[in-house]
Amino acid sequence: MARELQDVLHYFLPAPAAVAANTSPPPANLVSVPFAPHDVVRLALLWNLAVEAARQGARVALLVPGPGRCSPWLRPGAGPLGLEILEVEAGELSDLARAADGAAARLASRPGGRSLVLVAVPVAWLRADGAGCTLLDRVLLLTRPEERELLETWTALGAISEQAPRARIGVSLFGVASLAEARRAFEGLAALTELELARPLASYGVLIDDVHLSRSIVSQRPIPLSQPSTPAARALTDVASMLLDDARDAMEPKA
Amino acid sequence: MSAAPNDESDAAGLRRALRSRLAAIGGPLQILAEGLLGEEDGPIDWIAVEPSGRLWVVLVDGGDGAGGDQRLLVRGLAQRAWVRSRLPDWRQLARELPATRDTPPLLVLLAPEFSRLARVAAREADRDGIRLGRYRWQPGARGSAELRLEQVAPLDGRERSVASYPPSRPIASMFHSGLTDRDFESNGGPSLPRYPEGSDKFQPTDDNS
Repeated sequence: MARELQDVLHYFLPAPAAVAANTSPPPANLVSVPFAPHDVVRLALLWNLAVEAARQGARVALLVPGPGRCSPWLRPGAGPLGLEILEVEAGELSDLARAADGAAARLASRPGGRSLVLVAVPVAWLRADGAGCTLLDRVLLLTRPEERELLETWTALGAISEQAPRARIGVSLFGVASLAEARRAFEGLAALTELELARPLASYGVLIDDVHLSRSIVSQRPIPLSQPSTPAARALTDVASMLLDDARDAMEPKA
Repeated sequence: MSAAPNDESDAAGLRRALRSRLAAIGGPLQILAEGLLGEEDGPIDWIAVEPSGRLWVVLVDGGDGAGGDQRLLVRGLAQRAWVRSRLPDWRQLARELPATRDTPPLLVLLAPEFSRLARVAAREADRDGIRLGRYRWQPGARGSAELRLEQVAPLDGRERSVASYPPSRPIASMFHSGLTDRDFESNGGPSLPRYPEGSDKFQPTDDNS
């Protein structure tokens, strides 16, 4: 049974046969998000981000390595707003990459607009076998402004740069008390990245990990649906928009 | 893609490949001994000498799993001390030995990866006397695996503070956010702890990720 307008829209539109014959479906955007063991906060942010992207009309899949590598509340299957949560039996990065490519192709073959595949990548795998792996073409690092976290992020940046020299790497800050704190942390990381890795760092704004995030985990109801008027929801809207805008830019033909 | 050795013959192949690539991390070398039993009959993979006469004591991580790099460092320090104490005797027994006593032997440790802890410990133990080499298998031109060996860049000795790293020059990367300061004033409570404590419900069942 059709669940959304986009599932039946093609009945009312002219068949795009001529266009379809000449162009392949637009590629889904694939974004990897590293996480550490016991890292429930990053996974919760990622899950909420996926739901928010779906709320903004994108076809979204969230891939997590399994079994047992992610928090048990992150259940595979159909999620809210058509979000697909896929648990992949993966022992290394290339396993995840194959599954992500499959999910991206599947999403791209469906009618509709933008698509997004978010992939939770164990941070320890960044050094293992990432060379030549498309999974590291776009990476979003979620980090707090604390020294230890920034050092871990810096280590991850180095590993990704080594494995995928042309990767587009972005950072979202969370756990900040103010915008100024987020800006300082980002600019510190960016300065170091430009100086020592000779590459820019993309900013993907700020996420808010307040009590609403823990409520969303306990109740298994994502923030964009259960608490849409909170700052946490606005932050998710902002970051998801940036990710989807990148997807649109990537799909538009270059002049 | 990684194609690490998985049996005894592969381990021997790894050592052969490493031996032929040792120069990649230090220039020309002459191998003096291979598979020597040193302190507590532990193996020293190679003893080599460089043109300047400086001796190399080379140990390879035997794939001991997690923490193998740290154990390798401990073994290496012990074996280098063993070699150093015997060097005067060796020079008397073999006067043609092109090794000098003036410079302490260089300890060279080879492993698939070195943790930050191991790198810091190596730096603190002997900044100039320990060299770390990272190896990994990667697909070769004809589909076979090829070994790549590279020197691990030494830590610079300053604990870099990323948080306080000052952008001393204009940076190209621009910070973006659609939030305002008011979003933080009405924040719905404190940030979550780094890892929730005492909550089995949220804990992953496998730490090996």
